[in-house]
Amino acid sequence: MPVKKSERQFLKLYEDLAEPIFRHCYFRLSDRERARDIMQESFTRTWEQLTDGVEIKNLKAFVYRVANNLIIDTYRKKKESSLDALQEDGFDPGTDDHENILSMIAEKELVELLDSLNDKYRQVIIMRYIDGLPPREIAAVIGETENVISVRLHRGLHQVRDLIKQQESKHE
Amino acid sequence: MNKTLKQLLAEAKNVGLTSVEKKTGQENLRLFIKNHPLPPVSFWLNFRTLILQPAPIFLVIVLLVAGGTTLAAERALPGEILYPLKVGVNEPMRGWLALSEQTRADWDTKLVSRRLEEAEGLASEAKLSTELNAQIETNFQAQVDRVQARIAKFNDRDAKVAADVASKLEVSLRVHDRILSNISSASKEMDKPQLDSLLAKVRVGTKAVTKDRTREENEVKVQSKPTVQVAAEGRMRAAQNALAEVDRFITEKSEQLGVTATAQARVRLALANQLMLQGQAKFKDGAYADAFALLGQARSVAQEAKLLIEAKGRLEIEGLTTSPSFSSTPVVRDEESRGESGGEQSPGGSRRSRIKIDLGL
Repeated sequence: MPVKKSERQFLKLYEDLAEPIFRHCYFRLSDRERARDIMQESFTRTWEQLTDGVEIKNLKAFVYRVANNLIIDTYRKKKESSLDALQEDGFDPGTDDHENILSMIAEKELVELLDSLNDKYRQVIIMRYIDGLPPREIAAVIGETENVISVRLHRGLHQVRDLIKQQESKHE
Repeated sequence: MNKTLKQLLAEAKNVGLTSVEKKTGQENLRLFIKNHPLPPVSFWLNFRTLILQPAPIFLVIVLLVAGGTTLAAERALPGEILYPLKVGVNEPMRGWLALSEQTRADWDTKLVSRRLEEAEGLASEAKLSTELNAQIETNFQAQVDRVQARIAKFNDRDAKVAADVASKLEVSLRVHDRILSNISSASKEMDKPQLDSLLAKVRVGTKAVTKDRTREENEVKVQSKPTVQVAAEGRMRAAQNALAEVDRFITEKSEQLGVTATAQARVRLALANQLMLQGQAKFKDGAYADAFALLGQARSVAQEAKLLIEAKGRLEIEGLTTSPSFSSTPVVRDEESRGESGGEQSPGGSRRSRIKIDLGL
């Protein structure tokens, strides 16, 4: 039986959004498996809302919002142990080549950096600079004004800059 | 490593799913969609679209005329002409008005109760045939499954809400168990197999939802102290509101209930109040998990009292010369006296006579 139009559109949304949502969850939680589960659950929960008859005007923002709520639940359920978990589980780059190792180190650095931020700032920085969402879309997801988002981005980046300076002075 | 933040963020975009992960995810989602299809656009959805648009005057008139019929349909029982309107139009429309997940869960719980009330209504008039009972049992089970699915969904996000939904359903099922048992004791032999079959289903449902409630409450209790404190506070407010509401309800209905039933209802309310005071004391001592459990029980006892009073009002015979009795043996009206009784005129034209039941309020 041919898949209906609405179902096709939803599967297309998954195709476009699965990676950005996964990436977002990964950098918020530093746990690949959990990030994958939350990404998948964000879509299934959104679909369930549609089957319940809920009208969703902005599906992309909705899926992000669901992911955000699931991330917050994860924070609540267990204390995050990002870097330790990273070191225990490692990444799975697939090979041991030089480029992948460099990527691993870069990722670890970034995760450590982001992990030191207040989640309010971490969330908007990931959405802006990793997920590539414009402030308008971030505002729609989080439910704040664009102005608030711009202020958070500004403050978040300042905090990141200060953290980098601190790290550099430690290494000297 | 001395990469700039810009470089780090640029490289972060390379983090992603493997092709196997993405493919697996897509297949899983496809399967999920297949198992959870979108509902077909139905009459009532079109009706909703219609009323959201500016309505021409003739449509308003049609709606006003239809309104009287839909109100009458609310009292319809399975097998009656207006019953399809009740379950096919009225109930979906009211479900549509439930905007949050919690109000939707409350409405689904209410639908469980409505199915059992229909069975009680039919049984009290000795009209619960095998076919109608089978229909009610199927609908009842589907509704219970729906509520349990909502409890499972809430469990992932908020165990306290899941526990509350489970608790409300549990109270409702226990009250209906009591009512059905009483009706069964008072019924003729020909109605007993249907009632016993339905009772068995209610008891299985109660057992399952008690398990859900216990599991959810235990999950709340093992959370961090501040979380359990917040949950206990929420329950305290809910218990206080429930007790106040039931107190007002008993006062309103006291004339209808009679002296003895009112006194019995007040005894139940006093028990609920006692549990609430115990819960508050535990809360004050910082034993939030115990407080959470006790306050939940307080609310349940209060809710049970209210449901029993409502059931009593629903199932009592109208125009009885004798006052409500609280003997242990329910009063059964025999065939000859039915025709002489005051009673409701059913849409079909025959008089509705009812079995008097003792709910032991």
